Amino acid sequence: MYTNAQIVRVVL
Amino acid sequence: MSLPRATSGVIVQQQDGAFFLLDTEGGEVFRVNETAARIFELCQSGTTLDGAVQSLAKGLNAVDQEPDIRADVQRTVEQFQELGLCEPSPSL
Repeated sequence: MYTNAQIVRVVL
Repeated sequence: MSLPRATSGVIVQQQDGAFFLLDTEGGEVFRVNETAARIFELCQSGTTLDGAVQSLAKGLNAVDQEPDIRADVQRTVEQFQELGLCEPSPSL
């Protein structure tokens, strides 16, 4: 199952 | 056609199951999911768009989703370019 890419600018 | 090249100084790091893109020169940190991390690694390796789509589809057992994957890869690399994580290139 493919999940769309997600990018979030930012942690530990 | 090849995916845009990853910007030098940007690395992928995995920590406790989470993926991060670290701009070691600009000092910025991005949290990404596994898909985005894989796409970035494909940019680092200079893979073609077709090769990236096939690699992702096979790796995630989602061959029937190739059209959706292609659209997502194109959207993602454009976002990488906007964020300075990939070099500019002619439009895919």
